[in-house]
Amino acid sequence: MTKSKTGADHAHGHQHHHHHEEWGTRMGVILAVAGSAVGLGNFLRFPGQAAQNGGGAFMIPYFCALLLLGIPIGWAEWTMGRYGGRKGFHSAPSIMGVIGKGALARYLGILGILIPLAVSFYYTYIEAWCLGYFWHYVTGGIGIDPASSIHEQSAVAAQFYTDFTGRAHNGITTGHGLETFIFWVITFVVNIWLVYRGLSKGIEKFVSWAMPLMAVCALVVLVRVLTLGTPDPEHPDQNVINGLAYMWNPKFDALSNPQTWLAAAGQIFFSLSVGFGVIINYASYLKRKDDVVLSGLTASATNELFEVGFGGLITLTAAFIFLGTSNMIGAVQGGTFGLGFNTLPIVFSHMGAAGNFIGATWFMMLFIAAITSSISMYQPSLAFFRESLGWDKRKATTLMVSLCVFASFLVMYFSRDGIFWSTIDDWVGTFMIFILAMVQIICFSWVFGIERGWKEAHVGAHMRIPWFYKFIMKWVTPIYLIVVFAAFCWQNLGEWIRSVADEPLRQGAIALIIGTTFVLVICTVIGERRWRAAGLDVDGRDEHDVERRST
Amino acid sequence: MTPGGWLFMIGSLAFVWILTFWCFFKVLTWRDPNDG
Repeated sequence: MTKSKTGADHAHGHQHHHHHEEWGTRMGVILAVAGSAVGLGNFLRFPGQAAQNGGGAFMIPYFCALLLLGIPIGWAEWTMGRYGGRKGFHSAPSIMGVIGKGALARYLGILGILIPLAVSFYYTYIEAWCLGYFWHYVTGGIGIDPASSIHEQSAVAAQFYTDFTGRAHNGITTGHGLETFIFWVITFVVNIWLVYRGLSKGIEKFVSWAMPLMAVCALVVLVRVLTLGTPDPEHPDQNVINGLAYMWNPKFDALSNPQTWLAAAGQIFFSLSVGFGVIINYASYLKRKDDVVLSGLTASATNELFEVGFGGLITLTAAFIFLGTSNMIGAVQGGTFGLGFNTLPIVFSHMGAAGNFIGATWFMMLFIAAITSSISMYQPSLAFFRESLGWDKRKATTLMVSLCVFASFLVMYFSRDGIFWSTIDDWVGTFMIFILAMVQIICFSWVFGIERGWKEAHVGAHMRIPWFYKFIMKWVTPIYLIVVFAAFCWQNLGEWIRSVADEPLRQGAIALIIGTTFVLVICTVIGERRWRAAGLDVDGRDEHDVERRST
Repeated sequence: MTPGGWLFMIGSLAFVWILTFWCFFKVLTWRDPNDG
């Protein structure tokens, strides 16, 4: 893995800029992107969204969003990343500057560092909960008595969750004391260690056994859930088929509700990690003749398999079988984390002797899903600090770790009701992803140009993109995205702004986001000067590369 | 489960499984024409 300089580097004399990082195998980069995409949302958020928004009928707007938003923006991001890498760049600000030809796109590209970095501030904390729950299941469960009433069991599960995540009060040592904090330290150290080892020796090596292991865990839980039959003879209606029906029976009237379409687009977006800044970084380490079209599609397909094939069958089915219709509404409305951490523990306690084993397998699977996502959140900012400040890996890692430790400490300290981290989740993990995705698709299709982008995407491609996608990527995707974003703002923004004004914890989270942005802007200013001094094509002026290369 | 429920579930599962298998099959069997 030492001969990492591409022909373009030599041609442009950019050798000093290259990080000597590259992917070992083609499957490695596909699994890394798929691992980044498959996360907690696949198993917890998707089934809840589907059940609340039309059941089986939800799949119509869902697959529309997959084909018209998720997959095309993914292809654009893969293509832009590889193109930027050939110009000697590995971070969203520099690459968007090249693709979008100038300062506006470059500074908007900062979102591609801010999003993964700020999301990591709380994501790794939630990941630590999965590890903590796993540990509790390995060592005997979380103390739910299956003989007590459902009401009491819910109270025990909710109390454990509240204590474990420190929701009752601010402070690091509330609830379970230092326990959660220790799990965070372990999780964070493993993440940084994997990222520090480098692309092929750290991330790639890890995902190549973590992804199959996650699939095995998911299969074990799936088989257990689908073979539950009718566990309680007193409730013959609480069986597997009715559980599946709860999730899949279509309610077609939902299709006339704009909320359904918005929810479907939102789910696709957050699930595939497009518009996140990760793919553009990962793809920048590809060689110039490496395929991006089939790789992008395969990573998306893998994500869909975990989401629809496992998330769509396991979570709500299991909850329904043991809780019945009347308790499902609360379970689904408890949202992503309520379902995973409050409801499913009750389900495991009803599985008898196998319950703790299935519980441990479930939380191990969630932990793997989370860690293959979180490592992808650290890599972009590490690459960005190296590239903008010209620092070596050790110095850049120190800066990133310092920022993350400081911010994660705030997240863990201000734990009351999860307000602090969910504010970052709303503004960065939801709102800004829409903006970055819009910037990316507009820069790709309109500034870089769809004809040029199309040609660039097909360099070394192992399949052709169907011809009509040229039209989709130029017109349908941007318009679809703008409409969805406008509807999203119309629905949420007023309330979000009011809630920030009312709550000091939310203001603190916003201040953290602004402070982080400030650091990234300074780095970009410094980086821009350095890149220009090094003679790099900062504003994407050299437009003849594609044609020249193909002759 | 209603017929519609079965239809959506089987259809969606078939779509994601076939797409994933097709993709991985293409990835794993692809040979660079320059490699002979």
